[in-house]
Amino acid sequence: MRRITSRFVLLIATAAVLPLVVYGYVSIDSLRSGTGDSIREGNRKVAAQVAEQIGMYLRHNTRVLQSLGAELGATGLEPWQQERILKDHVLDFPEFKEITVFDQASRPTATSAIGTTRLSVPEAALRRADKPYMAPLNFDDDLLPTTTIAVPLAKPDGQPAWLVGEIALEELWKMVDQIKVGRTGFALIIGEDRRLIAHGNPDEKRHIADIKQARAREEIQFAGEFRSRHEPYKEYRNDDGERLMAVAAALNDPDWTVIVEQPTAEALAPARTIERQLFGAIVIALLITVALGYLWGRTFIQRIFALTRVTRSIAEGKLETRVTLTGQDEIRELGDAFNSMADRLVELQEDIRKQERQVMFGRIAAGLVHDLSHPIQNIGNSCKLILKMWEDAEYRDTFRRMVEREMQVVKRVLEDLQNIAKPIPLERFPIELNRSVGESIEAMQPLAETAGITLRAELSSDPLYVEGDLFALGRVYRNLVVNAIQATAPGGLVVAAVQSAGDRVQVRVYDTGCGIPADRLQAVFEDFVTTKRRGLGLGLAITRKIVEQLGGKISVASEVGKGTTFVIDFPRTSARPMAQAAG
Amino acid sequence: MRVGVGVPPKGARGSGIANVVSAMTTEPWIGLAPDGRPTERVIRAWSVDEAGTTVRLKIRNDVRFHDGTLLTPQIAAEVMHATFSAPAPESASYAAVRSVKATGDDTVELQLSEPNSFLLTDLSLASVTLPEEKAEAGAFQVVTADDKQKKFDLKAFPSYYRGRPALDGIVVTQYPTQRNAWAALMRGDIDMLYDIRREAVDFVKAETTVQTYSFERPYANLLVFNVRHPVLKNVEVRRALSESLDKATLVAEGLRGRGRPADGPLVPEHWAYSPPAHPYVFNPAAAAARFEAAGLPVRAPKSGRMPSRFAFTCLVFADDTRFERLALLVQKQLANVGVDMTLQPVPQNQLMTRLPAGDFDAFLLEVAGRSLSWLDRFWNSRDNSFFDSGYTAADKAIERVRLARSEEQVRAEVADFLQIMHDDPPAVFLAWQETTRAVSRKFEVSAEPGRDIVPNAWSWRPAAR
Repeated sequence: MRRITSRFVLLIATAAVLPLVVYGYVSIDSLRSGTGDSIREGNRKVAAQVAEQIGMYLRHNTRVLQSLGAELGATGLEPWQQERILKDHVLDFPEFKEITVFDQASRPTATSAIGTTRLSVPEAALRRADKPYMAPLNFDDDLLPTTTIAVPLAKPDGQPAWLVGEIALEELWKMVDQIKVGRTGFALIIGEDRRLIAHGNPDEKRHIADIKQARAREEIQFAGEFRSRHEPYKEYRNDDGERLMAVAAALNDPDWTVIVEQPTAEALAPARTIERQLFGAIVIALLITVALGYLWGRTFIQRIFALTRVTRSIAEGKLETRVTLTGQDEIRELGDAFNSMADRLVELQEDIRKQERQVMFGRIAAGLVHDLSHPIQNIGNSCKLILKMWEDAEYRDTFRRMVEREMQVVKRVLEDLQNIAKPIPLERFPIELNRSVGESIEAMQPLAETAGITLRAELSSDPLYVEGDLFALGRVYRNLVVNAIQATAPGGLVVAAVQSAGDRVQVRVYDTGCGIPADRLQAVFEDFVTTKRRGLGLGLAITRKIVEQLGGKISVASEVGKGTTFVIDFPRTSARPMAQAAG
Repeated sequence: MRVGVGVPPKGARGSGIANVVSAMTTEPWIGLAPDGRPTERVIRAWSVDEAGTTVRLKIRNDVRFHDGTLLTPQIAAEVMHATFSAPAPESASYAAVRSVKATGDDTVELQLSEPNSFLLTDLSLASVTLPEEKAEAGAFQVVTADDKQKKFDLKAFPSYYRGRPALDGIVVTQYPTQRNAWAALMRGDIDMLYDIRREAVDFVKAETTVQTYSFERPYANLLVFNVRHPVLKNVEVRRALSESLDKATLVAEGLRGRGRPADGPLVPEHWAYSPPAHPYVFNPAAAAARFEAAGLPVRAPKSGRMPSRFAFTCLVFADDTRFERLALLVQKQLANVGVDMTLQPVPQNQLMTRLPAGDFDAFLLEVAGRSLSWLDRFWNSRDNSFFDSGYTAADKAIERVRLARSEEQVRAEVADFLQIMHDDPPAVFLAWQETTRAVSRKFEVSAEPGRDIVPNAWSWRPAAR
């Protein structure tokens, strides 16, 4: 049975939550794809800014040399003045380790170096005499990069001269170190020959000095792909297996590539957080919706439950039960109607009871009149006669016997009435059923012979013991046998059979009489129910009462025109009668 | 552990593979605390009589040489005797030792010709070495050394008296330059970088796989004058030169902030140190006034030179990038007050010839300043074998320090000496410099704040996982 509560919850969930879930799914999906794109784009802009800054830094250094060259080239300064200026520049611009002026024959004429200059004019610079030139990075024996910048000097005599400065890449490193994306995102620079020049992650700098390892690195390959295929984005893993989101930007002079790396988990963390929050919100909304729906539905359904409980209570016979429903709706109306119905039911039941009481009283009265009028009539008649025949001693004796006999009948009727109202006092002793049944059947043989019926006992081969009251059981057998004889036409058969049935013992009394109609079969054990013209109809009621008090059960089966079978079964006992036990 | 050492700059003292290996394989008689006081090592206790001529040294009884020989007072006396009587003794104070003998179970007694307050601390310079066998007593012993001394394999000495070293061995490798050594550290070829270039310190500090240890070396950068120079002999000129230099800027820009200004030849942490009464402060105007008062106005330049009050040449170690920036800054600051200082780079061998010969106007150098005996060695004209600057003003004062017999007396005489050095400065004491060592975090190094970690190499151990 599908409960209305479940249906109600399902309705609420479908109507309210399903759209919410769909919305959430679409939102989360959009958030993921949108976030990834925006982060990549943001980082790409950072990389582009970094590239621009580095370009500006390099151009700035070139301009410093150019302005220095302008200061030196055309002003006819003496060598000591030039040297002073060069030295001041080296002191003022820490990225310059040394600056030297060369004449047109590439001979040094002034230098910031204390001794002999280490620098020379790059060959490539000589070929482009009119422009500043930045040499490719020089990876010397210590595998740390340096570079030189050469700018042409305008000499008063028109002959080209050069100003060459050596730049410490450590200063460039400091620039790159300052670039942070999030908490663990760094920038790095790949040189024109696909060598790592700078890395913002202090723990990764070692790869700059380890050229063999550096060439195989993902960043280097990414830089190559960026340059050749213009792919600005890539994801790869670092040495620790952590997934990185990388973007690239180009520096065109020199041909360096700036890469900005950020752990994917960190980059997407805000989006993931929003995702989780969104998911959490959806779950909470779902739970709230379900809870509210359940609570409201429960309030609604509780009234139906209440109605159901009261209905069951009334069905169990508690007709005084009523339902109290709140609200101003149809359910309330239903409750009111139900209460009205219950009130009417009580009235009808009372009416029926009155009628039944009247019928019962009528029957009892009729039975009593019937059963008692004969003995009372006989006693009355005999009393009249005794007045006349008092002198006759024989008649006085006959009178005494008749009064005693009729008084026994009256007493028996009154006892039956008394016993049906309260428990019958019974003794419980182990008795052997074959014997008790056999003796009762023996005693009723004259009655059967008179009725022209065959009465016999079918006993079990083994003794069967039950806990019972010998006299009460005798009455039970007599009631059943007498009823059977009375219901059987002459020439018929009445049998009392005793048999074992597992741990129980059965006594069956069956006849070949007229049978009992089916509609009366279940009522045969009720008080004051009889098919006879005479009697209160207490015989079978008392019989059932005795059987049930002794722990047994009685049942009846019958077919009209064929006969009736009464079955009594008792629990078997292992106890034995005292005489037998002692014996 | 693999240690990388760059060939030191020519002017740098206390560096280089030889010093590193020596620090790990030899054992000094006595140690020096950061304040210059002697501390127990092989000599666990000492006493000096009232006359100051008898020194009794208690020797530990559990020191062994690398060849297994147990150090006894007798052997200790023999070793000391060999040290004191060497043709070129490490310290001038050894000359005061008249006799060395073992007395008792654990005592060596030195008889001195006269008191010498430098002797005990000078024992920190002498190693406990069996003279004939050349057996040392340090925490590690040399297993192999390549013929050009570019690589040493050391192994732990199990019987080292302070405890068997936790490291089984150390490989010390020399690199052509400090930059090379730094690159080797970056590549992971070495676990320790002995000296980190100033430019590289910030990068190395940022690495999470490496721990850096910075400490101030007891070496001062100074501009030493030849007081025989016609101009520099004038004390007012030298005072003016002291006032011309902005030491804070020299430290900040010349040493990249890794050091502190110096005000004299002795480290301020020394127990006997006392600051000058009126220290020189950077005051170009006052300096100019002194120059003027000394009859040194700014004159028209000679051909190819700047207008100046006077000119002199300053020798510097050639190819020493460490001094280069400092020298340029000094040159610039002096030029600002009209002093024309020409920097002349000189190879080490030439320098070592010219300085003792007094063949210089001035030179830029670093000089030790942790112990009083070094003051005697550099500033006592009688004992100075490193350079002949013609300076004698502090001779008597340093003699009095040497002959002092009590701490109070030493302190008083040192104060007097320092004041003389201040009032009649033979040099401008520029800065005490800091150096940094880097060790991979794969190793645990016991480090006392502000002290060098190398003397504790015996206690280094692999880091717990």
